[in-house]
Amino acid sequence: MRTWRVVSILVLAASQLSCSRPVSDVESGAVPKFVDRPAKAGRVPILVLTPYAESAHAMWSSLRDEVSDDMDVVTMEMGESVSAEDVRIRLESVHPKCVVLLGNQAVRTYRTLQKGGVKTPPAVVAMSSFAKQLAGDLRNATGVAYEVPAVTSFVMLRQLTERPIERVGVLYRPAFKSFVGAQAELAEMEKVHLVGRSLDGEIGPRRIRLALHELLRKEKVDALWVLNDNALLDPKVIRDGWLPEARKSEVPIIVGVSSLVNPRLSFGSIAVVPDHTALGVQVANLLFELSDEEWAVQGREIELPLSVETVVDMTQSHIMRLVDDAPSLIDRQVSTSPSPLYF
Amino acid sequence: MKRRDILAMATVGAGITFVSSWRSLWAEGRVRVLTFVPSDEKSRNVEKRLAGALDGLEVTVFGKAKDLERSVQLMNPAAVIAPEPTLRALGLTPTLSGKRAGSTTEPYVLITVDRPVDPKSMASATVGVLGIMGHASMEVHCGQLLGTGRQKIKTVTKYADLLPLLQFKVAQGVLLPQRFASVLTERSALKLVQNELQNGRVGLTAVAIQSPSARDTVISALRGMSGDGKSALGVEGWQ
Repeated sequence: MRTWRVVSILVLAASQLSCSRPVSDVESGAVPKFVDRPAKAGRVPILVLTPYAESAHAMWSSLRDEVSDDMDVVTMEMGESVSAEDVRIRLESVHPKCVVLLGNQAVRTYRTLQKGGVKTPPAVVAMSSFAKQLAGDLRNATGVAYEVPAVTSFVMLRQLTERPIERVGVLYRPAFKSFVGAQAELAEMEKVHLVGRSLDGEIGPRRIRLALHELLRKEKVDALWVLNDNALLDPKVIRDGWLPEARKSEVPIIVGVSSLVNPRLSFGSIAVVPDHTALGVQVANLLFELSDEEWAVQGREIELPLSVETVVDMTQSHIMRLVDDAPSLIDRQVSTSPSPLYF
Repeated sequence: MKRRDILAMATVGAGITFVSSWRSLWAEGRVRVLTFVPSDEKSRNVEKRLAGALDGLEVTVFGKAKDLERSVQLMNPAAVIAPEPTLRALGLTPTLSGKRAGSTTEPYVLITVDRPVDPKSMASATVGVLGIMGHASMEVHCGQLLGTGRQKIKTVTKYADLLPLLQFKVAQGVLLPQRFASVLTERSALKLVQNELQNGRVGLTAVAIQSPSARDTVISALRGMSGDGKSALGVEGWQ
């Protein structure tokens, strides 16, 4: 029975990792309606293409409120049936100065429009996996990345724990080499050394176990950082690769998806995930800057997300060795299974 | 329609308006107070601390100035607690001003990486700051603090989020109250330098009481609140 439960949780976690998922980390409950405020003369129209998702709503409403003195947010929900032609018609009616693209479907649709030769306003991409690559595929686009920088996770962990966090281990596939390299550079600034192990070819549980053993025993890392990479987080790979070694490890494991912080799994000790309300403020700041610069997007780097939320498995407090005021700094403490189990 | 019917409708309408405005001032028999306190603590924790310290007041704490602004417009609360510049930006006049170290204002500092700077030299740079007003007002507010005119800024919602602005080199400096500087310096291995500001004092938390009928209740609750409650609001007393 326990194995089935673990598999169920892992399947759920894997579904949240999928790039095609609607941008959210955790989607639960009913999504409030996306209701635009009445347009006001003198305010600049901004079109937001968004999926119908709770996390997108939190980000959207924060963005709408922040820019409300100067900009009118006009919203278009990107349901399955929305086509590039539908977006083109909306662009013609709204005449936005800029389009905010939330989630991968909005980006894909906008790219289709551009490839079709439609003249499009500048775009700001957010809540999209690999925004950097996606924005690169678009003309006249910038945005905010969705992946939480490793250094942010490490500084957060260091603040919560009495343990020294100086060497952090990470497993990655060669495709992620440059991403991990950039993260290592940022982490060094905060005096955290990222110790990587590249895994090429087919990834199976045994290779994960061996690589982890090396990081934990030979390299003596203080924590493990788990990349949001589907290949590394296949349910079977987690169950037979990560879990056996992780349960022996006694070092905190940092994950990027909150469903992997689950006492029944005993896997992620802490999830560091984007704060969607703050992300709305960050995108609003970007819109203000673009407005000051006559909506010129060229040459702008994709920004890294500034604000995060933390989810901690309190049953791992002996591993985490939390400092006294840690509970006041943690956004969500998990001590029983938060995920519905499907049998 | 007869004159009598029109009169009756007008009376009912006036009654509904009165009841709804009365309901917005009072929540379940308690005086409704809306609060925004910039802090490194989560809004729900601040709300819990204030709920325990303010008898007879129904306190709602917001994590962003814009959320407070919208709710003030929608709910017409009996009182609003927020930093003094936030109240003024909302067109509210403080009834009580918070005091700390004998003053109703507190010093802000500019934090930079590796070396000290002349705050006036930030005119062409981007500066990070926790947003306590709308964007345009914040640009002017920061410009006044730094002596740079209208300052280019990036706003955040928590003091801790100012650190990534420096780590990722998105901002060349960040502005915050001196008492919160340790939120960054204790957390980071970067060499962070505190630069004092010549005109760098900002009004502390203040209270605008909008409903005359709730005035005595609000003042008495605030004056009688515990040290922990005052600390949650960043003040030591009231003036």
